Amino acid sequence: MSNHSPADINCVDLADIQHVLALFAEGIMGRYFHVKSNEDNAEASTTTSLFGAAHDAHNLYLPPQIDWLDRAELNSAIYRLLILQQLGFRLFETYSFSIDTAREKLADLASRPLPSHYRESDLEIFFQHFEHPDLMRSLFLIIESSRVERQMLEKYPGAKKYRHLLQPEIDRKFDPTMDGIKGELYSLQAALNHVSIASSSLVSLTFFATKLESTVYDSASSAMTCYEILATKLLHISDTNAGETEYQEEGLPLDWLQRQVRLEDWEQEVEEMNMQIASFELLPEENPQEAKVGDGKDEGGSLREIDIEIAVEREQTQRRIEIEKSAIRHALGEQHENTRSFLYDEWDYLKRTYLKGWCRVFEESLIADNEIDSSELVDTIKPLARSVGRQFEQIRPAGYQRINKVSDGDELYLNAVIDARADLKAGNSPDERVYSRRERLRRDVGAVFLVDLSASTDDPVEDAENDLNASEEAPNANLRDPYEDDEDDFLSVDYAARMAEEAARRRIIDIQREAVALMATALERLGDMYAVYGFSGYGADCVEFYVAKEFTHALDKSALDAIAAMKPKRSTRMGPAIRHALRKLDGAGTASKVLMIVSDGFPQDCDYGPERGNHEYGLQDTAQALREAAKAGVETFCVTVDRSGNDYLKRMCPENRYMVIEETTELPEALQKAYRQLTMI
Amino acid sequence: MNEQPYYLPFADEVDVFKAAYESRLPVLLKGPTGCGKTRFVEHMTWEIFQKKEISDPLITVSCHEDLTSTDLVGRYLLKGDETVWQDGPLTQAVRTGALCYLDEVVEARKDTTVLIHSLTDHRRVLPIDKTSEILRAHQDFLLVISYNPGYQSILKDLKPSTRQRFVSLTFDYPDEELEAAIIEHESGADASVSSRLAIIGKKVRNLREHGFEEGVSTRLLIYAGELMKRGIDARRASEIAIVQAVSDDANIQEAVSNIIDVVWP
Repeated sequence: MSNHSPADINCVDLADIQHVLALFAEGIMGRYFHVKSNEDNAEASTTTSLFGAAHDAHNLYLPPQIDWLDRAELNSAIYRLLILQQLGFRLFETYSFSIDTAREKLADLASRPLPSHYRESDLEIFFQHFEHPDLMRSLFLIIESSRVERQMLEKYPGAKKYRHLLQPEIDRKFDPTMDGIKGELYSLQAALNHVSIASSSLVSLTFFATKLESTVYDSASSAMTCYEILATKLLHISDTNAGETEYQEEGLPLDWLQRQVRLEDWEQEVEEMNMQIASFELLPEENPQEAKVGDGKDEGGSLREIDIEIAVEREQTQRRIEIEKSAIRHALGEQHENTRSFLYDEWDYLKRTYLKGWCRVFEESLIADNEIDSSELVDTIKPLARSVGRQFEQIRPAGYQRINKVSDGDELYLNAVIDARADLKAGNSPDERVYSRRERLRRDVGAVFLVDLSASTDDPVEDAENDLNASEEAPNANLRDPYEDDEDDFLSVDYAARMAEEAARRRIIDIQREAVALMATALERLGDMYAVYGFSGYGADCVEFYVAKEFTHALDKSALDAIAAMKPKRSTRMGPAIRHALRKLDGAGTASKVLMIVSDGFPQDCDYGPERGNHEYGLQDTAQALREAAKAGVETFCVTVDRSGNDYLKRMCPENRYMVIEETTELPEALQKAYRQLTMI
Repeated sequence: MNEQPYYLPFADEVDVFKAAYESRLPVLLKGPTGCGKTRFVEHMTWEIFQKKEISDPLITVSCHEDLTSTDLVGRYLLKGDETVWQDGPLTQAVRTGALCYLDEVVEARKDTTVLIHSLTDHRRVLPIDKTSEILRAHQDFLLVISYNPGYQSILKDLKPSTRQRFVSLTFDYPDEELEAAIIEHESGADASVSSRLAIIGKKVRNLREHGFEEGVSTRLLIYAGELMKRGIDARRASEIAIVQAVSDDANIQEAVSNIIDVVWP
């Protein structure tokens, strides 16, 4: 999303290296972080870093470009330095701050009354001990950042040279004209960042916090000492300036950050309780009399009682987690935890260029909730599965073939032995390939089934007659676009009756699921490698890619449950989903690669092109993604149940690489035919 | 084996293996490549066979996808005007009472795993079809196999019927401190270098999910230490021994290289 001058060859775009940076961060921390531009998050502007870097529980926010140094590789290294600075807050336990420990360690703090609090983080409670909590927050952050950087550079000494190279840029940014309390804080931060022309009388008071072995409590202690001095100065500043105590901008999400980390601790606790409960369940049943709760015989509590107690505690913790998650989501937006994200370019056919790193694809496992059970899906496909499986089995290559005349094998090959003997007798050197061996014949095919999970797949399956009537009654209705609701129509029908009728009918998504599940069972017999993914999303920065089955996973109950859990979601931004599927296919490493897209309409999304109603942009981007697939040696095939599909598929897909299904129920058969055709069997 | 192979236990695996050998229970070692399985087997062979009269107490076979039962049992060779039988490594171990170690056994063809069934239950026999021989195992013979459940795909998993014939010992990479000690001993690098290499090992293994489930082996870290001891620059030694070895993916290589860059002073 950047547009620096092409001539500036030393400038590094975040979009170009975000994947490598995410891997770097994952290596350092052992868990995944989404690497995003600080333009993606308003909160990110509030940061302890002088360079616009910030973080929250799942994201690292960095400047969209860096051109501060005169070599591109050094600018890339600065990105890594900024990442280390941000991860340092977690590595060196800023968020482990406990108010109880702080009050034990810091006598001055303990002498202050504990502020009333409800669900705030411990750090926030610490700030609330003071008359000017904003001032304390700013002081603490400046000092703590310095402590964290000191320790980070000690642990990762290779980063020191990049920090050193960054110093002129820090010096250059320093503004000596700032005055008042803000100026004091700014000077302290600059001095702690080794800006040569910055001076602050407070620096000497932070000595203990910047020692190698110092902890977050040393930062808190130093911040308190500095606070006393600045609070006294505040008394002498006019009322109009008194409010400007916060050097950082409003809304620094430190409180939320610690609450997110606390959430992770709670989730860990739940995990431990689950393990405890599981271990109790493995124990043999107790004597029923002993197991009676509260019978007074066992004052220490029987195993069952302990089990129940843990279960109750687990329930409470889980409820607390849900409430906290909801609060965090409300404050910070969608969190995308347990996902990985990838940036992809998008083809802008109007400008005839790729928009760099335009789409963010979030990859997420489809995990069936308790209500989803694949047994219904399995029962539905069972009658067909056997015959389809048999068809595929017939085309499976014969198990073994004997290869004669090889240098190594399990049997001597008599003809070769005779030839060798004859050669020897004739005085010639014999051929040493006198063995035969059995070799298994294998197909080396990797296939991806990419299923459109847009909202419109919730539509009921229309039979031809009804569909004809429907199109006569409502010629302008656009079932494919969930954003074009006609409110008047909606109100004029008996909604409850319509819902009941629709619930009884099969939907497009049902047929898609069955078709994919059927293909999966057939491919199990054939022995091909395959994966099943779904895609949806809303907007360029939130394309969702759902994993039902990976190449390396077996088609077990959890995979079938995941396929059964595929449900209609939001839009159809097809281009980035295809590009991500290509990445997956590339990773599978098979000789032959196949991508089968199962869709119910044209590509569309809220910002897929300059005009919302115009689908040409999305169509062109998808066509470009399919061309990229062909270039990468991937055979593609689009199957759609949209009867108007011919209009756009012929412009979007390579010739003979698409199929429009008139009757949705024909989808399973169509998929099989197309698959066999593509894999040339 | 004159010298005791160096091995630093991480749990009770040495005692468990000894007990298994005393009962002649076949042993399955599970764990990633380069975490010390082979060294453990060498160490245990030395412990068990040091006082026994046998010239080759350990016969190791590195299994691969073209390895057949013939390669293990033996085959007829052409020798002059004759065809003569040549024992394979498994047959040799069964006859002489050696410890036979089949490394990465799931890589081999399926017929090889069936072959070892009769050797791993109370029968302890090896049927050799081609010579019509039922070979009874020497009393000192023991079969040890290894495989890596994370690395191999479902297509190459060990069948339950095979897995349940062995007592299993699970290995993983040692923790940072232990690994540093191993690197220091094996490579001769100093403590600070070894400790930095162990940090690299830990960080790089955090990327295991990205197409190289193996992580970086302790063996590779030792190689890096050895190169450094012979004067190669730390970053260059790590590049050669670690970056190029863990993955062919350019992004992964770059990320690993970046991690190494910040760990070395």
